[in-house]
Amino acid sequence: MMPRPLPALDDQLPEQMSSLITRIRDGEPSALAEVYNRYSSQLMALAWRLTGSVEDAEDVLHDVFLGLPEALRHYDERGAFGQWIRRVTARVALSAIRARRTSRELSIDDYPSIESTDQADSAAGSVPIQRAIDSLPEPLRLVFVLKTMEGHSHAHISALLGISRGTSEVRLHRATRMLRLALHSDHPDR
Amino acid sequence: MMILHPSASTLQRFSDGDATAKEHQRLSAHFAECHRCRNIVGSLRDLSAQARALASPSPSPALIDRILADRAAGERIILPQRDDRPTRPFVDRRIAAGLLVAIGAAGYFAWASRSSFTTANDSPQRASVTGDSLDLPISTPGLFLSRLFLPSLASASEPSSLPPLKGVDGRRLSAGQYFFSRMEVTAPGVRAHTTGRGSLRVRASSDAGAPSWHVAHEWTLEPGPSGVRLETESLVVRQRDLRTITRSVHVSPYLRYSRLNILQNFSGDSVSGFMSAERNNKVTVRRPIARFLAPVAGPYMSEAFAPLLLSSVRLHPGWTGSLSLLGWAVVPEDIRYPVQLRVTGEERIRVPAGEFDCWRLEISRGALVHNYWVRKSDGLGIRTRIDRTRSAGAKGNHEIVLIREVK
Repeated sequence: MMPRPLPALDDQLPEQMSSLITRIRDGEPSALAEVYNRYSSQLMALAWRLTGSVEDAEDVLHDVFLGLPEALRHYDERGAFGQWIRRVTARVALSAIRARRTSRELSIDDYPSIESTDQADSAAGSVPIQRAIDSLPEPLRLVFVLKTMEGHSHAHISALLGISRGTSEVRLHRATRMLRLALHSDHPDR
Repeated sequence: MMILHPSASTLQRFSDGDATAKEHQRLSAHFAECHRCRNIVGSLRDLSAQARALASPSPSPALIDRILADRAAGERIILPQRDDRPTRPFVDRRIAAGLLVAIGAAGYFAWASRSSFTTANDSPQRASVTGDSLDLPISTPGLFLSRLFLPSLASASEPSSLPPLKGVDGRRLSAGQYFFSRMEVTAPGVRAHTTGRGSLRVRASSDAGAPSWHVAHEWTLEPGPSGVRLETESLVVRQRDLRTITRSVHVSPYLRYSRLNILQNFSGDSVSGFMSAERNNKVTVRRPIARFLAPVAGPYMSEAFAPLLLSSVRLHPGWTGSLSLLGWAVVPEDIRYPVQLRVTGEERIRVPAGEFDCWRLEISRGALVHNYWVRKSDGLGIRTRIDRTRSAGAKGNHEIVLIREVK
């Protein structure tokens, strides 16, 4: 059973947060587990929304926390830790997506089955909007997730995805138009 | 009267809160009169709210155990630190097609002429990267200690049987600059000629507000097949316990490269960083460094720090200790070199810098034993005797001796 998510680190006093980060940098497993307990749910959601797969999202989470003690060398503690680790997770997830895209080893078995009863499907498969988001072309889905669901700016999305800001805006517009079409076929399409 | 509606992308920006103040004012005025656009914005906001409210799966309960077990087993990964994929500028399609052909051809030839070396900077990089053995950099340090043990790399990971250095107090060190020579020894006590010169400078510093020592080491080796080789190393160690914080090594030339760079950061039980190799002032090879440093083999020390190390402990007859000298950690065979130290006697030693009362130590790893003299007054290593080593650049017996010091 998963432990109850704890308040985000950013809600703690700066010295408590700094101490915890120092302990992680020093390789203390209990400190890593503490941060995992606080952030794993929201980072899993982010990774799952981006990769569209529970297995890939868990791999992303695994890699983020496996490399966190060393990656924290680059965290200067001026910005909010929660935002920083979400950005790192987004980068790792996008790397996984790029690697998956270029892989020549994918087979049809790698894609979730319609009859799948896994956690993701039971959580979201019955929700029309989730199905509509899942059916978006990947370039549009990534921008929609990052902008609408994760609150990134177009400037940051353009940097993450290697596209221009204008392209990011256009993709978001196309994604929302497709979603509105899928959800409300009678909407006034512009 | 014809009404000019805002564009869809403008409505999207308004819905997302990204509209400029001027746009916001103009659109608000428009919405007061246009229920159609107002409804579209409402629909966009509903869509966003529904999307944000969607449930998502939780990670499996065993995931954190797997992460901690993998770290305990020494697995490391370098996470992408930047958004490395640059925004593509507009390129004419014909130019782009030509560029693609050229890049593809260049990429093919690069791939065909080299082994599989992961250079992607935007992907997590596993520590277990392997590659062309011709390119694998192994540290070939030029002074003091670890050169002695390079011929026996194969058993470099054996554990030490001695306890680690205890009672280390880095505050006993003091700032100063020391100059050493490496000399060929043709007969006992006869130092024939100089085969290398080195300097070591230590000064007080601070790292993230904590007192530290900054050590700069430079070593010029005798001309080899590719000329004079220059090795420089910069270290930051914590003042209290001499734990290494950062390390950078530059060797020029190194094999067929004009310059090799090693950058290491030490955190907890790990070292991470990058190696890069240059040709004609351009980096042609990059490799990640991410290695587990087993606590049982510690403390870990760079060879550049070796002459200063014993300044931090109180030696006495029969004193023993062990440590691991750090390699470059780019390949698994070059992470650490465990050595054992033992005080075997006391002697008065003459070197070019003067005559000093010293502790005589044996430095050993397995069957390899070498002699080392440490000045009693401050623990500075003033002489190393290297007998019959076959290491690169040292064909006979050699000594490294202190020739001058500036306090």
